[in-house]
Amino acid sequence: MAARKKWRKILYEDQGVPDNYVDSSFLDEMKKNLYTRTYSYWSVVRNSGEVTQQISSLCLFVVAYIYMYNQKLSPQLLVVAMAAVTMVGYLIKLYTDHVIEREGPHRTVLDDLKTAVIFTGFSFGLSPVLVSLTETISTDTIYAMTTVMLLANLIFHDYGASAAMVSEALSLNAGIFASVCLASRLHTTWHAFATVTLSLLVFGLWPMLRKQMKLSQEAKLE
Amino acid sequence: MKHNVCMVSDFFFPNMGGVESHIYQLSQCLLERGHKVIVVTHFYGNRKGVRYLTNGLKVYYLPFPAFYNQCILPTIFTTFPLLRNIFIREHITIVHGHSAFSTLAHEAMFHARTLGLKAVFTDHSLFGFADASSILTNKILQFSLADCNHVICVSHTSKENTVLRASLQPDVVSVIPNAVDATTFVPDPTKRQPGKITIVVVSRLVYRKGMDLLAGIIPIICRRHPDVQFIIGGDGPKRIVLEEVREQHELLDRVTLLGTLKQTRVREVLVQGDILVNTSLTEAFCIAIVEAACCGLQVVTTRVGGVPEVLPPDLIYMAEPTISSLLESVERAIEDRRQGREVPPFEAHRRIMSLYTWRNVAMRTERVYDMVCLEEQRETSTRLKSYYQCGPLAGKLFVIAAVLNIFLLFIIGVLQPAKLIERAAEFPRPSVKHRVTENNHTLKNKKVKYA
Repeated sequence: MAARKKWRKILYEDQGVPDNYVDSSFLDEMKKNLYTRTYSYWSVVRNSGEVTQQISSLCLFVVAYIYMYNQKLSPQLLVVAMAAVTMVGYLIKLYTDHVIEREGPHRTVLDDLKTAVIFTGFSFGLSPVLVSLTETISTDTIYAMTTVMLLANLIFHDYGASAAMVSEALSLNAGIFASVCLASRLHTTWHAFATVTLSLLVFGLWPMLRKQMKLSQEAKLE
Repeated sequence: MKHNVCMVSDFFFPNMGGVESHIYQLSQCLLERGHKVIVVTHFYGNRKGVRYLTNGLKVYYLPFPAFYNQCILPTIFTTFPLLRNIFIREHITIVHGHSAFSTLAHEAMFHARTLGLKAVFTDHSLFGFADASSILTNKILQFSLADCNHVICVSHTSKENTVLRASLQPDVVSVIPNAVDATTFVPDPTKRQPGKITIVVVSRLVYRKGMDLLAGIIPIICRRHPDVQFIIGGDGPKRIVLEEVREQHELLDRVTLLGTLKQTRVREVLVQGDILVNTSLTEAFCIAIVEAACCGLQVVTTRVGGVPEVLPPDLIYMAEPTISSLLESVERAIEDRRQGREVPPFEAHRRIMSLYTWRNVAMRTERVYDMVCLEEQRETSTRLKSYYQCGPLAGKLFVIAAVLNIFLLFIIGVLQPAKLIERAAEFPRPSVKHRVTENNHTLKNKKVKYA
């Protein structure tokens, strides 16, 4: 028996073992999880953090609206606060620009200031129109529409994944549209101005800054 | 030990294929060895009720309509009364199910176990693990095999696959390869075209059979070797791909597409060729290459599944399932053919003839039957426990099904007591002596099989 040949995985020879013989090499050739990717904990946290962060921004926007609606927050205070936050954000942007050192034509501070003035000027000038734009629509419709639009903002937002449904423009437009809807429930032009500006800040500027911060962090790590 | 065996499968004559002919040939050889064998399948068109095939092989065509891919609708319980009736009528001791796709086989084995009969299952195919449909089928297989007495696979690779899919103990699985009827696959070198090298492909033209690889190698081989021609037998959705290749490279005179081949014509096509190319991407046993080698062809094949186990290395040219590797192997075969280095056709035939015979398969299957018959009757609690271990949710569902079936058996037993069921008369069998003189009956009866 000791001289018995090593069992081979073949069918064309009778190897003198029962048909239900199990060799020690059974399942040796099995390959498990060939194509699974492993994720490191912190990269998952960082990338999913972006999603939760976007949800938080959205909540911030809704909460600000509710506070103004209940007259616990004056629009003037909000505008001042936003101006302050924007200033801080702009300083961070300047710093990260410096870290990344992107090539190509640079936008000067004057360019940015011009854009800011144009945007605030236009939204301030148009806020009497905005406030009455959707006034005749019933409140239920407004809330339903806002919900849908904010969800669309969440779904189509660019979280850094390369999927077909990602569309930054659609996401931003949905956010702005939601703010225009809500603005009409607040009656004064100041309210409308504050809401629209807040939406620009939360849905437009902040994701840009977030992306840039991420880039600069990666640039630093390299 | 003589057994009363009931072969159950959704796939049987008049349907054609590997499983069908396996059941037929195995049954014939078991009949020859003195066992009683009946076949149970669902009806096909006008073929309903009980029919007799060669040597008194009794076939029940049950009134369950085919629902998808020739399988009946899985209902678990509705087949029970009729199957119980047949099992009792025919004094069945062993129920032998065939093919993992066959719903009827799974249900019959389940009912057989409830009735306390032995169940054996033969798995004919390989399966994946990753996609949703295979996860579901594997769960069904696990349910079906949890209480099965023995499983037969056609190759070692297939055994590994089945053991993993159904979470079985490997020692309840036997490996018994398929066989070929060597008398039908005799080489005939005179049919070959002198001065040319003919490459034959006989397979369904589907993705699984690697038709895209074939489409990739045809133009390159034809360009490099002006004396090579292709004959392709079979049909399927990938036929259009091959036709496009033929058109694009102006190979209409060198690539012949024959379309669907009748089983009887396979040999006729095979003997015209010098080389058979098999490009399958997955294969449990691959009977096609054995048939080709039996006809004396050189065999070029992809190294997938159970294929490497089937033929000895000097009869086969292995390649990885890529175009470049296949090209290299095909060219090696062509070169050997030109130099006259290949194994002579009749020698290959002689070797294959002794390797894979149905009599050998029947003998080994009989050994499995003997083994399961010696097994002790399992307690109901043991049976339920083996179902329960199938999974946190599935296990509970399986136990419910098993208990319901026991309850159903009780009700049927009251409505139709076993002793009231008429026993079928035995088909008179030829005596042993008589049988020896008619040893080659399988040859004569080809007409019945392929009618």
